[in-house]
Amino acid sequence: MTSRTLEDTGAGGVALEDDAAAVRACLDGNRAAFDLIVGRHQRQIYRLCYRFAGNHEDASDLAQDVFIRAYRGLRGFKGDSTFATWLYRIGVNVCLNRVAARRPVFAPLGAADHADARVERADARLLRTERAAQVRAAIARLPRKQRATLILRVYHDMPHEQIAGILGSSVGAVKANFFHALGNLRKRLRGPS
Amino acid sequence: MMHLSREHLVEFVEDPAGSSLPAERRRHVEGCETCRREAAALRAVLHDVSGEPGGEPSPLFWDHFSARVAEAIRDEAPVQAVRVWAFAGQRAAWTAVALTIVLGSTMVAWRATLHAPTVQTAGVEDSPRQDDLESDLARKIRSAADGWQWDDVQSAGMGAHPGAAEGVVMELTPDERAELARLIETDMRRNGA
Repeated sequence: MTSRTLEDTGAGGVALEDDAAAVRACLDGNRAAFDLIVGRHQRQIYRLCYRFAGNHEDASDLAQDVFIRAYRGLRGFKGDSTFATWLYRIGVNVCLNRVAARRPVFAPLGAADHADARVERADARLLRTERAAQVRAAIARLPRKQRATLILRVYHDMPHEQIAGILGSSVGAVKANFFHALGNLRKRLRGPS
Repeated sequence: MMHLSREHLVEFVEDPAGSSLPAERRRHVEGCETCRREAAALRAVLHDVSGEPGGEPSPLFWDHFSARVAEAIRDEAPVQAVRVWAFAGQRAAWTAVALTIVLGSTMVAWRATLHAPTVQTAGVEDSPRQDDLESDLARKIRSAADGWQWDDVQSAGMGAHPGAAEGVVMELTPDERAELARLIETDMRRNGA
């Protein structure tokens, strides 16, 4: 990722090579430094929220909430983990708390989700769309920790150690949750073998 | 035969070639049909889940999102200023406590003077006279309240509210009310009312 400075955000030329420097600038009263943090992490946080919420509307609301909570709790970031891990921790908590309260509403897949329509037959496309909806629904029914583990591992490509840091579990527990998540999805998607 | 544990099975699912597995475990999976079948089933689920497209918003969304978060953050108290406000809140609380103590002791002292026997003390030089006592109390209150701002008192919930004076008067005994009336009358006469 290219490093940006506060000059880029019109806030005065302080070099902020990493998140820790941006956090320090924020704590020194420079709100523009938080814009840098948002710019750096918004895609990952949005995608995380989308995986939990299942639709764009809720995902963008959740992602905004994550950043607001991060801003409020910025003084609580001690640097024991990376800033990304800290932010993901807030994200997972926000998503689990909010989404657990209601069943996610999945948006229908848009044209962008499909493979090239010129070469894919209509019936194959329909089948794929249905399959994707089944997968989303099955993931949504997973227990909280299994769901969070699966999302972080599969869609964010995180190592088990980082997931353990985010969820506050041991690496062994993360692997066990991942195993159970795959097992539950197997039952729901493929039926008992 | 001991099969792979859940954790070890997950490691095998994620590394089908088994190159990262210890030699002993690799030997086991080579010879264990059950573990291989279990891992293959989980791997198939993982493949299904991985292929599920996530929602990717329009590229224009990110600028809109950053602006939205920045606007929401603008409504928040600055993270640094939180400390100042916390300190100010603490100061207001201590001010309220001090004010309560001073006013309470003033009230007690005033009531005690009302019920005291009317012994003529003018000739006793080492006993404080009523005026001295009052001015001493007034001095103490003045010095305790020196430097307080009206806002501090208001934020500490010490402001007068409509009906407060009537409430105090209704709590007075008939003697106290008569004394209060006499004091007000004297004061009004002194001011030429």
